[in-house]
Amino acid sequence: MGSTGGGLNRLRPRALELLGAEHGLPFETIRSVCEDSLGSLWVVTQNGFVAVNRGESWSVVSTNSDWPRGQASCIASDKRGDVWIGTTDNGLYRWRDGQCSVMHQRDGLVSDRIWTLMADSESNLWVASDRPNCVQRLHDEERQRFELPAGSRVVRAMAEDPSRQVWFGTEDGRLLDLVGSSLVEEAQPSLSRPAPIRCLQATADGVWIGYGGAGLGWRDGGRFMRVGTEQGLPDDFVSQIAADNRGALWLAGNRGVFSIQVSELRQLADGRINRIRATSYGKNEGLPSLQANFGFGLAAVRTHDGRICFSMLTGLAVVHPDRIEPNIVAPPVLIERLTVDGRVLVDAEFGGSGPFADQPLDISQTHRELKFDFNALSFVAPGNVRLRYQLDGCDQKPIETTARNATYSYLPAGSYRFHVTACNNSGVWNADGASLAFIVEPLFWQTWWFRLGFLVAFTGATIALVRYISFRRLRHRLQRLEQESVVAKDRARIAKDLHDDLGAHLSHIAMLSELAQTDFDKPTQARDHLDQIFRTARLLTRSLDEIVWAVNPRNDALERFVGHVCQFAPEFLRAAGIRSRLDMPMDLPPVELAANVRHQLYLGLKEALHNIVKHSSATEVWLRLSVAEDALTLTVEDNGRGFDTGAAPKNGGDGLINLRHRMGEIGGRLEQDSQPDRGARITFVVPIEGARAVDAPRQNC
Amino acid sequence: MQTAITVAIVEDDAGLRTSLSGILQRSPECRCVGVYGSAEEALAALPAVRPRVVLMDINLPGMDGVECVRRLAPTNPEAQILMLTVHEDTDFIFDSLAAGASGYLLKPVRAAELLAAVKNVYAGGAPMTSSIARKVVQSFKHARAAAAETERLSPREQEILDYLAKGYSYKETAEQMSISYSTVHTHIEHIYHKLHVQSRAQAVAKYLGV
Repeated sequence: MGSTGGGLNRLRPRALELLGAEHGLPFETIRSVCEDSLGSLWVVTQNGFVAVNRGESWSVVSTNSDWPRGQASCIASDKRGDVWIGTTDNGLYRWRDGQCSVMHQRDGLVSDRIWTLMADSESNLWVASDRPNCVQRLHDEERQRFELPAGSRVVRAMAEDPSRQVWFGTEDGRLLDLVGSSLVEEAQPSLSRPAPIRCLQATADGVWIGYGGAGLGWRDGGRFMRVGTEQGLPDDFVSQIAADNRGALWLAGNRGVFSIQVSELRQLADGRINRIRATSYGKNEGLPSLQANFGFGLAAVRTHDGRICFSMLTGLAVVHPDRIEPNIVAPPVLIERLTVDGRVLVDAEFGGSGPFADQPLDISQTHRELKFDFNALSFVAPGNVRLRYQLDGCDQKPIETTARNATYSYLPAGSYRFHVTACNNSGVWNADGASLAFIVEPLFWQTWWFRLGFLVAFTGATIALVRYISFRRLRHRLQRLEQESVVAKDRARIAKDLHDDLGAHLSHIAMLSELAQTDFDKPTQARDHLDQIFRTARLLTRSLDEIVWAVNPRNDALERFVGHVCQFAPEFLRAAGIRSRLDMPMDLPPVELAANVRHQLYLGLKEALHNIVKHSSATEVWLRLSVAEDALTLTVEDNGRGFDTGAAPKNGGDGLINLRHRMGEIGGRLEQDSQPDRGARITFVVPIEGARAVDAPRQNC
Repeated sequence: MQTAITVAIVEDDAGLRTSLSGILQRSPECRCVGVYGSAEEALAALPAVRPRVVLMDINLPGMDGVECVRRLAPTNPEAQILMLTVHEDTDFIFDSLAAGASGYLLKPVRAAELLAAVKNVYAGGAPMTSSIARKVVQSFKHARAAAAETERLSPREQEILDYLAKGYSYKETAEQMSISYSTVHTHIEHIYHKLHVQSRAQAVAKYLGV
C-alpha cells in the first residue's frame, strides 16, 4: 500500500492475534493456559471448561463421568506428559493418556479449592490453594507442605528460574523462595508499600515480579529495581509476564499487551536512562480494549516455537514475536499549526513541504498563550510514535511526549526556534524533525533604544534637578548674604551716626560747661554758654530720637513715615517762619518702606527743607504725597525765589547733586522744576512694592 | 495774689524730678504739691492731693503713663495732664491725648516753656498739631459703627480737623472758615471730649474682649 512520506509499505500479518469463540473456544474469557509435552495448547475458560488445541481447531475436553465439567480453575502440564487441572471446589484432576483421575482433600490435598498450579523441571507439581498458610508439592505419591510466613495471604504467582529455584508471590506482596526445605521471604526494597504480586517470571536475567498497582519488579542477584509508569511503563497493573527469546519482556495488564527491552531495563537500572520505551499492542491490531485476566495461574506461557500466549478477558492473545520487524522508517514530522491566544497564526493543513517562510515570524509580546500543533505520520503503530520537542530560548532540554501539541505562555521578548521530532515504534528517530522560528517583539518600553533613551533622559533630568536645587540654594545664600550685608551696612551707619552726632554734641556740652566755669564771673557769657548747653543737649536728644526712629522697624510702615513727616516738617518750617501746607492722603496702602529707602528719603526731604529755609526766602511750602502701584512721589514746592534749572551751580555747592545721589542709591530719581521768581518744585520718586494707586485729595483752598 | 497753680510731677528719673520741681518752686505762679516716681504711687496719692496740673512722663516703670492718665480722669476730672516725652512719637502722644491728657512737652524742656505750658493748660488750652489732627481723623474713621450720633464728629469739627491736618494754624483755620479763634478752640475742646469718650469705650470693649 502507498502512504504519504513513507513510501511503499508491505502489508504483513499481525504480530498479535486474539482467539475467541469464533476459533472454537467454549468461552472468550481465559483463566489459565499451558502447553503440553506434545506441543498442544490447553486453556481453562472462565466458565470452568477446558479446551485443547490440536492443529488449528479447539475442542472442549470431556472424559468419563468423573470429570466435573465447568469447574476448572487452573491448568499445568509437566514433562512426563501429564496435564493437571485444578478446580474451584473439587480437588485436583490429572489427565493422562486420555484418562482422568482425581485427588481430593481427603486424599492428602491441603484444600479442594485450587487456584494456582505449576509443574517444575523435576516434574514436581506445586499447588496453591485458598489456604494461606502453605503451598504443597506433589511428586508421585509424595505430598509435602511448605509453610508460608504467619499472616500471609494466599499465593497467586509462581515461577521457576533456570537454576531450578522456585519462587512464590503472595496476594499481600510477599516474595518467597524455597531454601532447603522452607520458604524464605526475600526483600523488595524499592517498594514503599506492599502491592499484591499477581505474577512472576524467572529468566536468566533475574526474577520479574508483576504487581497489582506497583508496576514491574526485577530482582537480579542482590539488586532490586521497580519500574512504574513514571519510568515509561504503560501500566502499573502487570497481571502476566512472559519473556521471548529475542531480549524482550512481554507484559499484559489492564491496558493490553506491551513489550519492553531487557537491555533498556538494564540501562535504567544503571542509571543511564531514566525512561524506557514500551511498544503497545492491541490498538494497532484493531483490538482496542485488551485486558488481561488474573487470579488463577499460570496465565501466560511461551510455546516451544516462540509464541507467547496471554489469558485475556476477551480471548486468548497469541503473540508472534518473529513477525515483528523493526520499523526502519522514521516518521515524517510536521508542525501543523501555531495558535496565538486562540488566533491561528500559521496553518499548514494545506501547505506543501515547507509551509513557513524563511524569515522568522513576529509575535507581539502581549500574547498570553502560544500553542503548537504538530504530528508525526506513521501508519504502522501510530500509537507507538513518540515525539520530542524543545523550544530554543525557553526549554533547557527536550521534552518527550505522546501528545500532539505543546503550549507556552508569556514568553519574554527574544528570538526563539521550536523544534519537534519523532521516533517510530521501533525507536527510529527522525533526525531533522520540523522547526519553526519566531521572534517575540519586545514591548516598546523593553527595546534597547527606548531603554537607552529613557536612561539618557533620566540622567539628564537628574542632572537638571541637581543643578536647579543647587542654584536655588546658591540664590538663597546670596539673598541671605545680601540681606546680611544690608543689615551690616545699616548697623555701620547707625554706629557712625551715633558716634558722629551724639559724640560731637556731648563733647560740645562738656566744653561749654568748662567755658561757663571759666566765665563764671562774666554773667552774660556764662549765661550764653549755659543756654548753648541747653540747645546742644536738646539737639542731641532730637538726633538720638531720629536715629531711634530710623532704626525701629515699626516705622517702616508708610503711614508711620507720613505721620513723622507731618510732625517734623511743619514745626521745622514754623520755626523758620514759613507756613506749611500738607497734602497727604488719609488712606494709605499698608506698604512697607525698605530701611534705606526711608532713611534716604527722610534725609533728602530734610535737606530740601533746609535749602528752602536757607536760600529760597519762601513764605509757604507745600508737601504733597501720592502713591502709585510701584512708586511713591513726594513733592516739595515753595513760593520762593526759584532758581534757573539750566544755570551752572552757584557757590560751588549743589545741594541737588546730593539729593540726586541719595535717590540714585535707593533706585529712585529726583525731578526739579523751577523758574526764577516763580518758586521751585522738587519731586522725589521712590520705588515701593505692592501698593495700589492712592492720590492725595485735591485741596480746594 | 491769685492762687498758685498746684502741680504734681510723675517722673521715674530722680534727676529730672529734682529739676522739674526746682523750676516749679522758683515760679511764684506754680506750687509743686507732689512728686511721684511711678504711676501706682501717683494713683494712690493724687485723688487726695487734687492738683490742677499733672506733669506725667509717658514712659513709667510698671504701669505706663497713658494708662495712668486713663485712670486719673475719673478720679481727678479737674486735673489737666501734660505728658512729658523724649520721643515725639505721634502714636503715644495721640493715645495719651485720647486717654485724657491735655497736651505734651518734649524733653528736655526750657523752664520758660514748661511754665508757659502749665499756665496754658490750666487755662484750658487744647493743643492740636497737624500730625495729631491727622490721627484724630483716622481714629474717628475707624471708630465703631455703633457709636451714637453725639459721639461722631460734626461736619464743622471734621472741617476744622482737615484744616489742621493740612498744616493750618488755629488762626489760619479760623480765617479760612470765617469763624473766631475761640470758636475753633471750643470745637477742638469738643473734639477732645468725644475723643475721650471714644477712647474710654474702646478701652472697655478691649477689656471685655469684644
